Amino acid sequence: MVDPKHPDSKQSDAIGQSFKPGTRLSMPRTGLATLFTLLSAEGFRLVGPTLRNGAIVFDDIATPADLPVGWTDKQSPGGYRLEKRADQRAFGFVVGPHSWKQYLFPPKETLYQATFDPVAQLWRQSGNAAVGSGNGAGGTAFIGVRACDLAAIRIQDRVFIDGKYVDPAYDNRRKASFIVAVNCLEAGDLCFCDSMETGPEVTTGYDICLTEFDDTFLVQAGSGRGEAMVAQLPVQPASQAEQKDLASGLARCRRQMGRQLDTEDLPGLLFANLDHAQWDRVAQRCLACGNCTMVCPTCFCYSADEVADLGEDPAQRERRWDSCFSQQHSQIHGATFQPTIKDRYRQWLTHKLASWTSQFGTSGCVGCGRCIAWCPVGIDLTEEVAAIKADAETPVPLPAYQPVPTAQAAEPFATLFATIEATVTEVVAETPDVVTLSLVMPRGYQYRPGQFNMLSLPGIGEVPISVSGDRNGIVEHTVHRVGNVSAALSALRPGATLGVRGPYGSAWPLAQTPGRPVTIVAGGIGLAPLRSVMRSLAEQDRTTVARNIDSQWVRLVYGAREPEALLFNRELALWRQNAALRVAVTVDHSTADWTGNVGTVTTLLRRKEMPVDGLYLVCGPEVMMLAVVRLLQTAQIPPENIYLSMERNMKCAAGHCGRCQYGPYFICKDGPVFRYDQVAFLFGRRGF
Amino acid sequence: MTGTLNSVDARLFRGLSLFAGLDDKRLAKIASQFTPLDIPAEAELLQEGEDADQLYILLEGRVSLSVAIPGRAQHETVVSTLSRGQLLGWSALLPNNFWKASAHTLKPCRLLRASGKAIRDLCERDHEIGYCLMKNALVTVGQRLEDCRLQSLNIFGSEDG
Repeated sequence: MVDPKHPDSKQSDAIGQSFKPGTRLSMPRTGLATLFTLLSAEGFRLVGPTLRNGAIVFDDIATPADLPVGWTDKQSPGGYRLEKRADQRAFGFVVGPHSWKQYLFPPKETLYQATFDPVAQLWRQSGNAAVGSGNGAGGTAFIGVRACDLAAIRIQDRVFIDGKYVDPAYDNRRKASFIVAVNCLEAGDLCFCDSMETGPEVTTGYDICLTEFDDTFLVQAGSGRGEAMVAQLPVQPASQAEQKDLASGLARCRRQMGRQLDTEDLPGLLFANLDHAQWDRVAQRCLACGNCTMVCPTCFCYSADEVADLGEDPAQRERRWDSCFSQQHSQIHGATFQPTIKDRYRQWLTHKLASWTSQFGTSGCVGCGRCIAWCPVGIDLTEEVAAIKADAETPVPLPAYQPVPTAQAAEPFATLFATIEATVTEVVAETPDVVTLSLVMPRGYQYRPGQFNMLSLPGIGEVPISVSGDRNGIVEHTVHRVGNVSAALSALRPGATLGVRGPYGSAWPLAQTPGRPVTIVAGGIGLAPLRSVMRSLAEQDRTTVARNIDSQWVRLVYGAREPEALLFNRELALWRQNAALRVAVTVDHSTADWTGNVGTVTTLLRRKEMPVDGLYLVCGPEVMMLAVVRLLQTAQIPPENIYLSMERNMKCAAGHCGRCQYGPYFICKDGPVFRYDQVAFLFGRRGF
Repeated sequence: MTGTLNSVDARLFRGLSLFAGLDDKRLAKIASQFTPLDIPAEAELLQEGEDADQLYILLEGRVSLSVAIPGRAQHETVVSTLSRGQLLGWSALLPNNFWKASAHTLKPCRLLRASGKAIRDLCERDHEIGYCLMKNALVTVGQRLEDCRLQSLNIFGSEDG
């Protein structure tokens, strides 16, 4: 095999020799061109570092001449400059503004298209085939992947493909990638991979690993594909001197690391110091520009929005990189949970270095230093952590990482975003701005009270809606009209179709209800996810509880803004007649004909008995839940007897998009129902 | 005025938060100031603006507190409702006071009633009673203020989720 562009790179005698897998081999510098040719011949698109606009960026490359030969980068907080090297090394730099995530998880991607079905006269969501499937049949070869970036890819794998739900587009691209890694023998001033234990040595997750010297490369295969490729390269066993140079180069690189981060107890430490003065100090410098999240090789938050076209192109759902520094990241119909820069920086750092360990079993930081170099004001996270550590409260325990059980791993995973089409059979107007949609779901659809579904309309959008009940295969969703998607859902009529995926999230602890008094506190639309619980208790308890009514009652305390905003009036009346149920309803604002209670749910609850062994299920606006929890705490109710249902900005419902984070949790996956002691350290805290 | 309470009354008064913390002797003293009272539904109990001369405790039933807004419709606006065990007419604990809201019974009610002046005099004569009563009343007034704040926040508005 001869590279047409590099006729010098003739096959050496070594080609075809077989070496023990994983052996380090020596290859002349010209072998790199051979490698590129081989990869191209196999159909791989080559992507690697190249010089552009005064930076070393990733782009399509064809030959080793496209690499930044003889260049290096000098980095400092808020600073990045290229400099000439004294030698002709092609990988003599550390990292630039780009990372491989832009290829595996593109900044902008179409998830679905809305297509018009002329027979049914309906807009439908295109199937999964529309989802991007890799970069061509041959996939992409990533040239020059550093150990820190390999660690970053492994971290994003955990986010997108290692959980219960698989992102098909990411999965396709990941499977179609060929990784040519490079060991770092020189560290930059902002490098701290040694602290994060991600580098500088490439140890796993590569097809071929290169180590660059002045005259040769060390080559090591890390996979079957890699071995097959190495067998065709002009290689020979590495010399003792080369082996020694690698070891001494890695050791020198470790000593050169310009930054370090003390990771001991870091997750618990950050969450123990959420009110540290350093957050205010860093917020005075931070511009909330989001550069750190864009250059970070592990940041994965994205938004998913319907993009309409004024021309003839169909509307499509697009996902784009989002940043926790953007206002819309933590926003739901009018409420912004992280309104200040301090909240957002704290969210970013506590997520990156702390929450990540609970969510994915690894730190979210690989020590590449990009966020320091590309911060316009030079904020250095290692300095921020050191400042907090210098004057810190004792670490608090965080929830442990819960890997997907291996038994489940053998089963096929659910595909993220795959929806089914459901038909509306009935629409009940509960209040002027709330409707209940009854949907025919496929046979076998099961949910547990408290869980939610994602409802979507092609070309309009998708929203999380809690399941409010089911009867004979008909599943009910109660929708509050607050935005354009919920308005469109509210306007549906029987016979209409919509997209459904789910159920997602945690459920109310129904198994804990027997044999103890149950108090359900609901506010406004918060009764919807609790209606199934009420129904279940109303039915189950008629025979058992009625006999034991003094100790096993069920009480509903329900509040709404005004009488006409009360949901499920017919059922409320039925429940009132049930001997096992005690129903108390109150409104904030009365009307002339209202003779019921006026006041908040806390006003009513305070007048009722609150047994310490009772079970308390609470759902409503967060400020209401906060008032209820404070009241229950005053009444000495143990936190583990209280359950709350939380709401945040849910877009993907699978813990992938990062929008609904609540400290170490994803509301969509770990919630929405939480036992209070799980969230007590955050609940009611501003900025989360 | 009797020095002791019969067991029925003792249990009743002990269960009322307004009297929490009082010893038996003092509880008997204050209990003797109250007389029971039954009122049918839809009766006016207090009228906004009138002298606050009587203190009530609601034992059974439901009472609305309402405010007349000049220029608004025929009805008064109900701002709160009270039920079992609640203090009604705390304004009478202060001298020269008037009712800040009207009170109407929404259900047949059983109440305890005492003269505001008699209770205030008792509090002045025995500061132990006075401190206990005022502290307990402050808890109730504080809770109402707290609840009232929540009620005024429009927490169910779409802007607040």
